[in-house]
Amino acid sequence: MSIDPSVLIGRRNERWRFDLLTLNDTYIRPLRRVVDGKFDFSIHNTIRSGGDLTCAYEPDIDWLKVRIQPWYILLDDDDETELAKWPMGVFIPESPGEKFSSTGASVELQLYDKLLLLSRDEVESTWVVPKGTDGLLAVRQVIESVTETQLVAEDLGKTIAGDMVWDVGETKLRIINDLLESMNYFSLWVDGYGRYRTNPYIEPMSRGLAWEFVDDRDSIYSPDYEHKADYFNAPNKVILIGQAEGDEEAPRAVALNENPESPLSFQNRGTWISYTEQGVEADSLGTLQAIAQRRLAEKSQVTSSFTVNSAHIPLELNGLVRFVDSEYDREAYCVLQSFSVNTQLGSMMELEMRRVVET
Amino acid sequence: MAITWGAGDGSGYGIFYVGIDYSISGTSVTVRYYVRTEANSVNDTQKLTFYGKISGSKSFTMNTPNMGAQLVHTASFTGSRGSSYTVSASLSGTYSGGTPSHSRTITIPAVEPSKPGTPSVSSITSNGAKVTWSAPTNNGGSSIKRYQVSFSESSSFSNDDRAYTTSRSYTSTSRAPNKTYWVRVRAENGVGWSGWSGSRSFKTKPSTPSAPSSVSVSRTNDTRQVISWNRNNTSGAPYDNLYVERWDSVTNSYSVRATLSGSASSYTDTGTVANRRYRYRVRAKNSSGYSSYGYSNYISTTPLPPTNVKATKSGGNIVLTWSIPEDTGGDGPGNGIEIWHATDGVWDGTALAVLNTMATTYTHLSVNNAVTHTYRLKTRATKDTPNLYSAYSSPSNTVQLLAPPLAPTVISPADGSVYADDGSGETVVTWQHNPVDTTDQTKFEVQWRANEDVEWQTSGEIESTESSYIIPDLSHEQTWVWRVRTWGEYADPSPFNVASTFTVSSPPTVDWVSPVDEDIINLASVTAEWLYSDPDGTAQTGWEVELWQDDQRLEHQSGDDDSTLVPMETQLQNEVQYELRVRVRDEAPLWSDWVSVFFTTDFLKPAGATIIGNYNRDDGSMGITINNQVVVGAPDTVYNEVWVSEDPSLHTLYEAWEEAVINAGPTITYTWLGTANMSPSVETIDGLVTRTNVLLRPQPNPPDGVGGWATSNSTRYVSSFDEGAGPEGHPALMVERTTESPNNIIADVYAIGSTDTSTSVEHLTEVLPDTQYTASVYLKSGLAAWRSWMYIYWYDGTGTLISNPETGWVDQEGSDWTRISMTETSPAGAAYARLRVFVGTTGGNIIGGETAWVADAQLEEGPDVTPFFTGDSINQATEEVQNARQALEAAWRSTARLLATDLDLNTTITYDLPRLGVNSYYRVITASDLPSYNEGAIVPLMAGPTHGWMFLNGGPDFTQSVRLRAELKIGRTQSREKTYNRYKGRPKPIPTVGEGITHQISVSAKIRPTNRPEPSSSADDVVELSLQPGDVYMRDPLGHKWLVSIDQVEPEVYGLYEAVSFSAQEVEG
Repeated sequence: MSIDPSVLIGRRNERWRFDLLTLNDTYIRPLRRVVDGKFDFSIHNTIRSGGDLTCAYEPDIDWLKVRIQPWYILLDDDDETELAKWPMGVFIPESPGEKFSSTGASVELQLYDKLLLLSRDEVESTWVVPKGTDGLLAVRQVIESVTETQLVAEDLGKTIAGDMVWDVGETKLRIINDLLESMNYFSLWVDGYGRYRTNPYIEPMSRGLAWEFVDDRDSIYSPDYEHKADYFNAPNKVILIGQAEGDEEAPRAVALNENPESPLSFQNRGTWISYTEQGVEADSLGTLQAIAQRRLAEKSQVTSSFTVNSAHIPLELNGLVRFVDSEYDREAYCVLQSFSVNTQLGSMMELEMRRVVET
Repeated sequence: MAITWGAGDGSGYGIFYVGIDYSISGTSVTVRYYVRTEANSVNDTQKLTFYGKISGSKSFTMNTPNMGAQLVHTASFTGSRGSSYTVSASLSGTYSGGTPSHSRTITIPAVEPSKPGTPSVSSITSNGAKVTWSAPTNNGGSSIKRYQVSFSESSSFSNDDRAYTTSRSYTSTSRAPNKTYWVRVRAENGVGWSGWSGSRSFKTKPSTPSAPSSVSVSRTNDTRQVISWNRNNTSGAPYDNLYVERWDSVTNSYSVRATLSGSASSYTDTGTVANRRYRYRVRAKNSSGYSSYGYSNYISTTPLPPTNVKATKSGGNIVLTWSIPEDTGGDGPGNGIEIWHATDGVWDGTALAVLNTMATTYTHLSVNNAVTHTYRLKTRATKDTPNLYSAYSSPSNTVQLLAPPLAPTVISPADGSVYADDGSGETVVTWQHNPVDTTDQTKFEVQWRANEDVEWQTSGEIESTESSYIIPDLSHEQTWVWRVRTWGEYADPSPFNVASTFTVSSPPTVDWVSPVDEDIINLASVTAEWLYSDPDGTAQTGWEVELWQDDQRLEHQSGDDDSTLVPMETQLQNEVQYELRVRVRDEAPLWSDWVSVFFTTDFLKPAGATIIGNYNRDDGSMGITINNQVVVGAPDTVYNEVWVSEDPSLHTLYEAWEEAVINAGPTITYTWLGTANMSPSVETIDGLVTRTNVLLRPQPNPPDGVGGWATSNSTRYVSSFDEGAGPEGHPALMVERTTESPNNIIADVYAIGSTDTSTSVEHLTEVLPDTQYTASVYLKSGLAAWRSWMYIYWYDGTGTLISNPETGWVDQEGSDWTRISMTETSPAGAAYARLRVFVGTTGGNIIGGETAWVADAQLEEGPDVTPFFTGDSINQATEEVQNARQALEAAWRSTARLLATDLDLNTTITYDLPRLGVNSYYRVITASDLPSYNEGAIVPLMAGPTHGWMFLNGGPDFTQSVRLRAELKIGRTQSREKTYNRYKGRPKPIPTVGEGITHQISVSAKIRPTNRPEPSSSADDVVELSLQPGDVYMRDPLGHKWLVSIDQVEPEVYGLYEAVSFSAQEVEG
C-alpha cells in the first residue's frame, strides 16, 4: 500500500494488528488480546529493532515456532476502511515470561528482529572468505546458513580484497557486517517484512529525503524537543590503516574536513583533531578512502542531534530527514539514529536524529 | 362719630327727629340710636323700630324735651373689612303723629393683606426656577392686586432683585448657574403691601460642562500610554467626573477605560497591547449632563512582524511572499514593510527595501546566483508618532540559487519490492525531485541494471519535469537495481539516490471452473472452484473468495495455500442471483485481479413454517412456537432453524417496508362481473388508507352449489386494503363479512383475484387434462384458531363443472400468515380450473365482523410454475416495495444470528434474552437434506409489554435471571478512547481515536418483597448473579440489551424496604 502523506498529518483513527507468522514468515492468524507493546529501532544496537509485547496467555501458541508482525493501521473515520498501514517488523519472541493472577494469565514477550538469528549463531570452526570471493554471495551464504533466504541488496559486483578469517565462536552477524564494511556497504538490517537488507553506503545528503519535519500547518512534531550540540571532540581528520598483505606496507587513507562551510573544519577551528583506526579491512584502497570519508562524516554527525517526538510515520533507520523550527531558527538535514514506538493510543514516536555535517 | 339726624316729622312743636351714631372698633360696629323733639315737654311712650343691618324695635318714654338727644338704643354687629352696612330706624307713637326716620351707612375700613405663604421652588434650571406660593390668608378687605417676588443671593435679601406678578407663581430666568438664591414674596391690595413671606433658598443648576481641550496621548511602551488634557470647568459649569474612552483598531469602537474625578487632568492606560492603534477621547460630566468630547491624537503600539516568509526562485529573481498577521494591517498600526537580506548568512547593514504598503510579496530582482539569500522582514508603523517597527520575522528559507538538488526520493518500485508489470515488459519507475533551491526538475537520468551486473544502463539525460520513466524489457527472472538523479536549474545534478533493488513479475490469473457464469444451481450451497495460472510459472500462495448478493458481501474466505476448491458456508436463497469473486496470489507475491462469476439458485424448497411468539414476563423470555406446513411434492423438512436479528435499525426498515406496501403497493382492481345489483363504496380506515369496497348482494343461486354464499341476509365486502402485507411483500386481499353466516364460514374467497362468481370461461384459468396441479395460497385470519378449506373446481371447454372438488381443511392457530396447498390431477376433459378458499372457525361459533386475508394464490402445473393469476395480479409488487423489502432483507441478513438449529418439526423453543419492549425480527428456516432451505417471513415479535421490568441473565447459558422494577433507575456514561497531540506550528491539538469504547452503567431499584403482587427478585438474587464468574446480560424495559460485567452490588435496607444498586461495564462477548 503506497501511503498518501496527507493521511499522516491530520486527525487519526488508529489501530494495531499483530499477525502470528510461521518460522517461514507465512501468516497463521492474528494474535489477539494484546495489552501493550513497544518497539525500538536503533543503529546503536546489534539487533537493530526489537521491543516488548504483553498479551493474554494463549496455551495453543508455541512461542518457539512463531514470529510476530505488528502492523500500525490508519482508518478512514467514516467507514473505517484502511487508509494506510505499515509493519514494524517480523519479530522473534524470546523467552516469554508468563504472569498468572486470579483474573487470568498474560505473557510478556521480548521481541527481536531476525538479526538475532545471526547474532546467536556462532561459527563452529574458523570461517574463511578467500580473496576474490563475490562479497554479496559470501553474505548470502552466511544468511542461508541460518535457514533464511531473503536478502535484498544492490549488487555492485564487489569482491573481497584479501582473505578474511574469523575465529571459532564469532557470530555470523559479525562476519556479515565485516564483509559488508569491507565493501563499504551499510550494516545488515531487517525490514518490516522480515527481509534482510543492505546497500552500498551513500553519503547522507545523497540519500532521498524521507520526511520533512517543518513547523508549518502540516507539522507533526511536538513543540517539546531537544537539541544537543557538542563539537568539542569531533575530529576533522580520520586516519584509517588497512591490513597489510605480506611485506607490503599497510594501505592508509586519510579523510580531512577542509570545508570552510563546516564549523568543524580546519579552516574554522585552526587545528587538527584526529581519529585513527588500524586494521581496517577494505577490498581496495578506494574503498578504504571511502570508509575514511564515511567515518569522518559519522564522527562529525554525532556532534549535533535532535530528539523529537513526532506522530507515528513510516521511517527507516539512516534515512535522511529535514528538521525546521522557524521560531528558533533551527534548520537541519538529519539522519535517523533511532526511534521508538509504542502501542498506546495516540502515542508519538521518539526520534533521535543526527545533524548531517557536510565534510 | 357724631350723631346724624334724620329729617323731623310731626306738627307744631311736636316735630321729632331720629338720630344715629356709631363707632367702629376693628370689624365690630356699635350703633347708637337717638331721638329728639322740639317740644318742650314730652312724656309719652313711643316706639323706635330698627331695620337694615340691625333689626328690632324698642318702646321707650320720651322725656327729653327741647331738642335734647335721648339715647334710645345701642346695638352692635361685626362686619367685614371694606364692607358697608346700612342701619335705619323709624319712630312711631309720637303724640304729634310724627314718624321720623333716619338711615345711615356704615363702612368698615380695609387694611393691608396678610403675608403670602412661604414660596416653593421647582423646575430649577441653570438660570432660574419656578417659584409658587399661596395667597395671603387675609386680603385685608381689599383684593390682592399683585405680588412682588424678591430674589437675593443673601438670606438677608440685601441687593435683592424684585419682580412683580399678578399670579401666584413666577419663573425666574435671570439667575446665575450653580448659585444659591433666597426668594420671598409679598402681596399688595388697595390698602398697601403685606409683609414679606417666609424665605426659601434654592440653588440653580450648573451649566453643561465645556469639553476638555488639548487632549493628547503619549506613548511610554506598548502597555502604557499617558493621556492628558486641559480642564475647562467654571463655577457655573463645574466637572463632577471625567470619562476617558479608548478606540482601538481591532474593535473599531470606543469604550470607556476610566471614570475619573472632575479634577483629573491625566490618565495612564496600562491596558494596551502590542499590534494595535489607539485613540482616546475625554469628556466631562456634571449634574446637568456631559460635555462634548475632546479627542487625542492616534498612537500605535509595536506591530507584529510578518509570518510565513518564503523565498522562491523565479528565473533570475527571488520572489518573497509572506503573511500579514491578523490586525496588523488595515486599521492596525502597520503601514509598511522593511525587507532585510542576508548574503551567505550574513545580514546586510541596511534594509534591502522599504515598502510603504502592507504588501505581501516582493521580488528581489537580479540576485547574485553565487551566494545564498535569506530574508527577514519587519513591519513598519509610521502612521503615528513615535514611529515603531516590529521585531524581525523568522527568517525565510535560504534560497541557494542554482544549487544541485538533493538525491531524489524513490517512490516506486521501492527497495526490495516486486513490480507487477502488465505483460508489456515495461517497468514504470517514479521518484520525487528534492530541490534545495526551489527550482523544479528540469532533467533526469534513470539508470538500471541487473543486480549481478556492474554496468548501468541509462535513460540518458532527459529534459523533463516528469518524475517517472518507463524502463523497457526487464526480464522476470532477474533482480534489478535502479536509481535516478535529477537536475534543477543548476548545472550539476543531484546525487543518485540509494539504488533500489526490485524484481519484476506478472500477476497470476484465475479462471472459474465451478460455477460457470450464469450457472443455475439446484442446491442451497455452492463450492467455489477455480484454475490458477501464472505467466512466471510460480505456484499459488494465497487466495481470497467472496460471495456477494447485489452490493452486499455475504461471505469472505481466504488462505495462504494452493487450494482451488473452497465450499462456501452461506445458505443460499432460492431464485436469487449471486456473485462469486476470487483472486489468487503467486510467489512474487502478486495478486491477480478479482474475477467474478454469476449464478442463480433454483432448487426445490421444503415446506415453510410459521412462528408464534409468546412473551413470558416472569423471566423476560420469549417462547417461540414453530408450525411446520405440509406441501405435497416438496422435499421433506428435516429440521428447523430459528434466526433472530435484534438490531434496532430493523425497526425503521420494517416500518418502511410496511409503509411502502400500504402507500406504494400495486394498484389492484378486482372487477365484479356478477349480477348488476351491487354498489361500490369508499371508506377511510384509521385515516391511513382508502379502500374501495364492493358490496356483494346475496346470491340466490351459488354458481356451483358449494359453499355458503347464498344466505339471504349475508353481506360480504371485498377490498384491496391490506392490514399488513402478504408474506412475500405483496398486498393481500382482505375479505370480511358483517353478518353471521349460518354455515360457519367467515370468509369466502372465490376465484381469488377477480371475485368473479360466474362460470364464464374467460374468468377461469386454462389447464390441461390429466395433469398434476398444485394450488397454494397464503392465508391469515383475525381469529386465534381457525380453519381453512381449499378447493379446485375443474371445468370442461364449455365452462361446465365436470368434477366435484375434493375437500380438505387445515386447522390453524395464531394471526400469522400460513401457506396451505393441495395437489390434484386434472380430470380428463378438463380445460379450465378455479381455485376457491374458505376461512372459517374450527367450531360452530361465529363472531360477526371477523376478517380474513389471502395472498399469493397460485395454481401451479407440476413442478413448473404457472401462475394461476397472471398479469395484474396480487403477485406483483412495485419497485418501491421491492426496494424496501430488499433493504430489510439485507439489513436482517447482516445482523441476524442463529438462535437454534436442528430443531424438530412443530416444536417450541425458548429464547431467554430478547430485547424488551421492542420488536426483534425472527425467521424460521426449514431445511431439507438436499440441502435446500425455505426461509419464512421476517416476523417481528415483541417481548412485552414489559411493565417496566428490567432483567439480568447470567449463569450457565444465561438461564439464571433476576428482575427489578420498583423505582428502577439506570444511569449510563459512554466514551470513546481518544487522545490529543500538539504539534509545533499548529495552534490546535490533533486528535487520535481508537476503537475502545467505555460504557458504564449504574442501576438502582427497590426490592418488591414476595408477599406483594408481582414481586421482584431479591437483593440476594442479584448478589448471587453477580458472583457468577461469567458475564451478565442486562435488558432494560426500553429495549436496550448489553453484555456486562457487574463490578459491585450494594444491597441496602430503607425501613421496611430493601433496595439494591450496582454498577457494571459493558464488555465484549
